[in-house]
Amino acid sequence: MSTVVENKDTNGAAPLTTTSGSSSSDQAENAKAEGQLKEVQLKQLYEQSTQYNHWRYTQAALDNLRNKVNQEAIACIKQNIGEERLSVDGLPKDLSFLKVEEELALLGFYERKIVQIFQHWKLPSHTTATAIVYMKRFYLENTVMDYHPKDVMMTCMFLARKTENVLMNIEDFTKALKALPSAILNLEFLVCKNLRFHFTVHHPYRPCLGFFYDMQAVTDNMERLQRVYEAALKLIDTSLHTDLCFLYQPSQIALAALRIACQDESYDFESTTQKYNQTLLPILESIENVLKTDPRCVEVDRSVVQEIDRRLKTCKDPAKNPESLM
Amino acid sequence: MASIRNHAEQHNADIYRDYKKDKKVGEGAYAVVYVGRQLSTKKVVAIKKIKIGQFKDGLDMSAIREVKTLQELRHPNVIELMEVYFHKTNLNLVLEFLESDLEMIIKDKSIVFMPGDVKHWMLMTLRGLDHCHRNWILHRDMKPNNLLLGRDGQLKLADFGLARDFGDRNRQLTAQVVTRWYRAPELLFGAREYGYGVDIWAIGCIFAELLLRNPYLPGNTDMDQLDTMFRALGTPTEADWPGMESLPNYIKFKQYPKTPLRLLFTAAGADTLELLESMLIYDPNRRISAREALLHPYFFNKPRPTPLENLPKHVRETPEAAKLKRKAEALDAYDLTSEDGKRLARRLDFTGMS
Repeated sequence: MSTVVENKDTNGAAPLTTTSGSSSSDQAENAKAEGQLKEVQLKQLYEQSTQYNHWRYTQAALDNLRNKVNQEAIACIKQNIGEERLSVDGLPKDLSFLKVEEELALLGFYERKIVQIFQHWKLPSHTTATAIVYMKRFYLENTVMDYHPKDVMMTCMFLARKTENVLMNIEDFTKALKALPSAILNLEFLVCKNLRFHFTVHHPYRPCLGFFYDMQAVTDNMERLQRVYEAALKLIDTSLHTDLCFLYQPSQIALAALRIACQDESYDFESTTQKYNQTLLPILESIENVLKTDPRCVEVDRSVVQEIDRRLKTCKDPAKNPESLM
Repeated sequence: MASIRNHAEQHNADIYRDYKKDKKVGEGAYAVVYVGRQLSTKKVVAIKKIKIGQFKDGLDMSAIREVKTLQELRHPNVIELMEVYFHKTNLNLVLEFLESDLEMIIKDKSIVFMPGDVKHWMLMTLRGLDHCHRNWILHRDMKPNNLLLGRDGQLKLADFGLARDFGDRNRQLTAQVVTRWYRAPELLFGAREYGYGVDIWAIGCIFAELLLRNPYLPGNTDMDQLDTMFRALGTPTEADWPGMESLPNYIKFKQYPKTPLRLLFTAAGADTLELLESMLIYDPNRRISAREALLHPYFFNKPRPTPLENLPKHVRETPEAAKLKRKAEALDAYDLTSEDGKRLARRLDFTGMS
């Protein structure tokens, strides 16, 4: 059963009000009351989130950061491998380090693993999304050459189950994944540190539901609108494999997904969403562009991933390998 | 050996080095609280050390809940989480340091409360809670002991170990929350879907406690809690609270009559009782919200809330602390930069703050 809930905050800046209650008139009233009592200035909720304040990047900044991390790691690993093989002249011949794009391809593979496993566990989409975003954030300042994505993936999944209140104990979790508890628990601290202890992640699913409610209020074709909504959710699933979560706000991604879905279903989007303005349009268009053209939206061929993983084994940092003599 | 390439590890180590624990001020089942300092700023802080090593599932849920919610909440009436770091197998939360809490003030019978004092404490509590609820976070452990008071009089919500998000339909929540005396009737009846009403009920109980200077509904067991509640406020009927009888743990109780609040709260004004009553409505759907409560005439009528600086403070000064304080004053004349002086100053700085 779905109810129609009024949601006045449909512009990009305030994505978090959906299910009930706090409409903009409430906020105005409250602002008035707060004014009289000479206290707190109310800011937009989303602008206070850790996601907005710490995890927003431009595409150029993302690219730079990843290149820098990749280059630094390669320089360091080269040196360490060299030190380890003191008696041997130079580096092994088959050594070929991973490029940033290859690291991302490998991560894309493990992101889809998360989707599969969480679907198997029948966990809600936002829990899956949280685990994926944790892994993405972790690998902003780390490389797969230092921490194998399989271990990090499992740790992110385990952590997301806790932070999204669907806790599973470590025995059941590791049994299901045929893993060792220590592999996960040893990395948990490190993952938390890299997440800067920011556990709340906002996803486009909730604003998408809010927009869906808004559109229900004015639709004359509920059946088609339902199909639009479901198609938009699928696009949001896809968006998780791109950089969109670092570049745009969840509500903007949700709106762009709805806009594409409307085009595909030939549903008249423009006349039902008159509220979005000209400043929002270029944002929506660039999100749509990513969703339509980013190669990471498509799953990488298994053989490609296997090849990357094979090379990864040769270029791991011996300083991080407990079996190494270093 | 390679230098630390992981930026986060480096950052963690830097934070760890910047804080010093000075004195244990409390110990709970899973955490120890210290008063300490940030060395770079000399700022006094509280450090909550959570022993993770003892949990087989790694980072435990209350630590996760506390960190997750406090990271998102920045408000003058919510305790500030300044930093988080790991050391050995412990998680450390650096929180702003507040010296007392509302429970201490209520119990300190040497203090007389003025109506304006209660009004300001209620105002600050509701502002903090409204901020949580705007962010779709339930506190789920509201009680006087978790409302901390700073030296400047500011009240701040603390202890978010039970806090979680709410508002999504069809999501089951646990009913095992909130300290019994402050637990809402729907929780006692085992409701798995609930909302901001559970925090408001608790605030209603705190409000009553501020007026009475004694716990309002002190039940001995969960069953007795309901009995105590119904004796005080009358047994609700299905008409008062539609849906009550279909709650998981609903039990039929003796039909106690409803007695007007003014018979117990003889000194309270009509606006005070009206607000109190609207917080203690049985039907959670009709219970007042934090936002509505803030706009209640009670806060606009006279008396005005007592200015922060004039609010009663709980002064915990043991004779030993008083002695050390006198020594400290005498020491002002000494050179505190010498090693001896530094050591002494450090010892003196934090006395009387436990």
